[in-house]
Amino acid sequence: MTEARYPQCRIVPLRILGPDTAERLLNAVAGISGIRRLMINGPSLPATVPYGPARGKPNPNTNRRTITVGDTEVELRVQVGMLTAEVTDASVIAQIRRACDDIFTKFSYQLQEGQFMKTQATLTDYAKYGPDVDETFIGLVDPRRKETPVILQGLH
Amino acid sequence: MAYTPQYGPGTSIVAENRRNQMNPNHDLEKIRDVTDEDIVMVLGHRAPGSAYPTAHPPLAEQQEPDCPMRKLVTPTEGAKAGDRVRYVQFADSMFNAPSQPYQRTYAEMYRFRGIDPGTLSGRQIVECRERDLEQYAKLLVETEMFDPALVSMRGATVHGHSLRLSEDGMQFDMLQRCVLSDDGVVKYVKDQIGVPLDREVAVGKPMDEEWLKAHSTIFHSLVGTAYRDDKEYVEYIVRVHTLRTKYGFMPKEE
Amino acid sequence: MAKIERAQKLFLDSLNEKFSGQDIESEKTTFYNFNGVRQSPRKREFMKATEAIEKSRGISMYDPERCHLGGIPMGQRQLMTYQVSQSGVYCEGDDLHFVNNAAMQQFWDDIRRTVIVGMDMAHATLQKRLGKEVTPETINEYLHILNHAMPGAAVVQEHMVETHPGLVDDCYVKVFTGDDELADDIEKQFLIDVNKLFTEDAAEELKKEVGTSMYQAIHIPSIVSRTCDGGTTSRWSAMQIGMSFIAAYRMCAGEAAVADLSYAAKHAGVVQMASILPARRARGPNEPGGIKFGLFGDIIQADRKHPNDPARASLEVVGAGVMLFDQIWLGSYMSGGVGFTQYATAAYTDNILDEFTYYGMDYLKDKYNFDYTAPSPDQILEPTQDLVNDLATEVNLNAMEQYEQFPTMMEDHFGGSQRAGVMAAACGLTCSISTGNSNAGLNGWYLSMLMHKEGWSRLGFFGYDLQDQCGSANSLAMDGDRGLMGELRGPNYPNYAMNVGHQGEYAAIVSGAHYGRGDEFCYSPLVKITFADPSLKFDFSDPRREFARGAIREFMPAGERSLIIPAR
Repeated sequence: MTEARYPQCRIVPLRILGPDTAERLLNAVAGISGIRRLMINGPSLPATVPYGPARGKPNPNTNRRTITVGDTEVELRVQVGMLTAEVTDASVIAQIRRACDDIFTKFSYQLQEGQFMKTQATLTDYAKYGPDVDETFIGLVDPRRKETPVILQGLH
Repeated sequence: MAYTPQYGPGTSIVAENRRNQMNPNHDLEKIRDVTDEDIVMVLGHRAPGSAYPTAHPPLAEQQEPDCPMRKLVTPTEGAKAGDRVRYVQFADSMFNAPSQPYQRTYAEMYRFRGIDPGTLSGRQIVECRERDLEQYAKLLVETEMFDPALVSMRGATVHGHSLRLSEDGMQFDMLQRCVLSDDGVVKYVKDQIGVPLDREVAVGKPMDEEWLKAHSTIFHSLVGTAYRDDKEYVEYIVRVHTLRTKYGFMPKEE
Repeated sequence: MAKIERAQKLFLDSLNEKFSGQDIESEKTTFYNFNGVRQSPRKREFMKATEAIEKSRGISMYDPERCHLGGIPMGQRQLMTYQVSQSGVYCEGDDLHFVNNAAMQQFWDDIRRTVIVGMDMAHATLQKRLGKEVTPETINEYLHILNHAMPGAAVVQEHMVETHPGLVDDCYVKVFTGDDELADDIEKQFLIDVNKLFTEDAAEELKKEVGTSMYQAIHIPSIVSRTCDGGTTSRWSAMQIGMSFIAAYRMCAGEAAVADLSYAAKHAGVVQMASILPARRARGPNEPGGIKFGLFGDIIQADRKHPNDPARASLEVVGAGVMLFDQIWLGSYMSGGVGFTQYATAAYTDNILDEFTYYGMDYLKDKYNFDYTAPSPDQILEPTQDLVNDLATEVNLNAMEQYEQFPTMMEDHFGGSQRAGVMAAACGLTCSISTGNSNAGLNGWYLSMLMHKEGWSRLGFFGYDLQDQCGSANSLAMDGDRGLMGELRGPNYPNYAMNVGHQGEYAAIVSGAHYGRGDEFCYSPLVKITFADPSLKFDFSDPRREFARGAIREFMPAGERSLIIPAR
């Protein structure tokens, strides 16, 4: 029914990354030519306690900070557990692997190839964006989040 | 014939640790000191030093009905004083945390009195009278049943047990109730439910991987002891299942 | 690792696990081979329109090449998208909530709006009591009238209020019989042709079961069963059947024989899809709680599509079953909650259960020389306790190890109930498919649960655990109030009635026992034939794919209402 037009891969470190490592990884990966789309995934780090007895209270967390990728500032909303990339061709994945080898020296990582991002609008996208959704953005944010993806610039 | 509890099967270190935690005659190794006041702060039920709120007058001051059960059961200190019922809840990482939900419940049932445990996949809660709870919680934190990085006291927002550990070795906590300081000591900065504390509460340094593997009560083929390797444990479960099946099919003694 | 590699069929097909170490040298990129954003005519149109606007207002506007290709869009997600297992479709969890998914709605609509009504009693009444002649011609005439009347049109009296055909176009009646000669004389539009829909062997067996009797497979309008309830289906159909007999056989509307026809159509000749539930459940017939697991296995037709893959056929039952029993029945009918979808989807997304189950199939082949791709009673293994223990132990240990080895799998199924249901289902399916014995399958489920709980010292939550911790004892029991054979158990079976993440899997375990034997049906040949009908809105041979089509808005359901509401 769906066919990925571009290869995808995801980097799964064996630990969830702190913001410093996440920043290094993102700069290394996003700097590689041939990355079409990126998505970071991990457990949420909300600014206020979302539920429970402390609901509404501020939720200071050292893992939530603004990092800089290229010359774009990215406010982390999740603690980075995976980085998924859609690339133009398989050779880019080899370059991603080399970048990861340099970064993950204290603990291991897995690089998985397959399909991980949506490439086709689903009902949720229709409800959110209407019929003419830009497919580049599909599946890059949680369905009920209002944020849009950031555009990383200043990388090449 | 006196009954000698066996606590559980298994030849692995995991099985041995489980038995030790359950066996009230086994002295749990005390690994860290946390003051009573610190425990009270992290529990977050009352301000340290404040009086215990009560649910009823002390037993000595109220007329007890003529009940044989009440004569039979010696009340705990908390029950005697009429304390309200409060809770402590722990989230245990599946990456070799030293205690795990059902293990906690089993151990607590053998070691504590007057408790009401609840067991889930990501957390385990135990409820009891408040002053009893504080004593129990202290034991659960100070001994080998606790690790500052892989076990945490979480009254709410508990997601973390099945996630990979953070880069610094801490179990993920959306509310980051405790942080690993530069000096290597884990400090609670929020109480059990995520309300910021007036001061930090130190709970010691995380145990190293070797210690964790030697003290864990969960089987794990990647980071610890593989379940498959404890043949006696697996055989015993199969035996329990088989006997239950047969008795259910034809309920009679053979 | 060798064992894990052997199991890497589906999960790792899509992940193609590769650890660091490869060195593929290539510096060339083909980034612009596709001509970037300009390959889309629509985008080119946008860009052209933008040029004119920018000229007039002097401020830049739509610029995808700078903003997309000059930069890289990066999003953040807490939740991963799901792949509906073996469908290739990726979607959000929300797309799999039945309220958001038209295919899921139609799946249940198509079951609830169905009854099967035998014709023999009515024909006997007409022939023996009234002396009327019943021939293929009169049956065809009757079916013409019935297909006029069933959607809600009048036949006997004039000036009656009628339904608009555009609202009820999914309503129809077909017939089937085991008598080839009779079938030949029925107009093709009204016949469910057993010979065409089933393999030759299966058709022979099914026809033998049906015999010379003729049955009506009736589907009342979706909109009717939605507005009313499952109990309506037999009443609505019986009323139209009665009227159609009167019209077709020129009867007097008031004559006493009509009562006999009505009794046959309303009660004596009716096969409901679900039995009525006890009063405390407050549900009539044809509601999900009353569907026997064996009958559900006949509703799902994946074994027709995958006759040589009982694992696949059973996995389709899991997907369909958890959707109906967890998401709709327990989730909405019984609790009114919204959290049930999360549990249910674990069993039919990301190929995880599929992977665990095929591991069981491989194990059967390796150790017992059981070839699951050639289902037949001849190779069925004797359902001993030792066999069940061995299969469930191995499949469960493998599943636990997979979760341990692949942290992303553990994070996907982040809750104990999700993991428990999936692991136990794989164990149950392995046991039932290989033994042809549904209770042996259920027994494997419970060993998995005990083993899981002891291995990880956790299971689901205590409400979930309860039935699993005591289930060994009732899995082989047959005594009243204590047990039943699996085919006759259902969502309201005492120990099963309370919790999410079980009932769909149980239905699949029961069905798998028959798919593994290559049986033509699990419980009812009538139901098997009825749901093979290609005219149904929902394709019951491919439920997970249908749900996936619902998620991407490709599924067209019945129940059109735009005719009777204001235009937007």
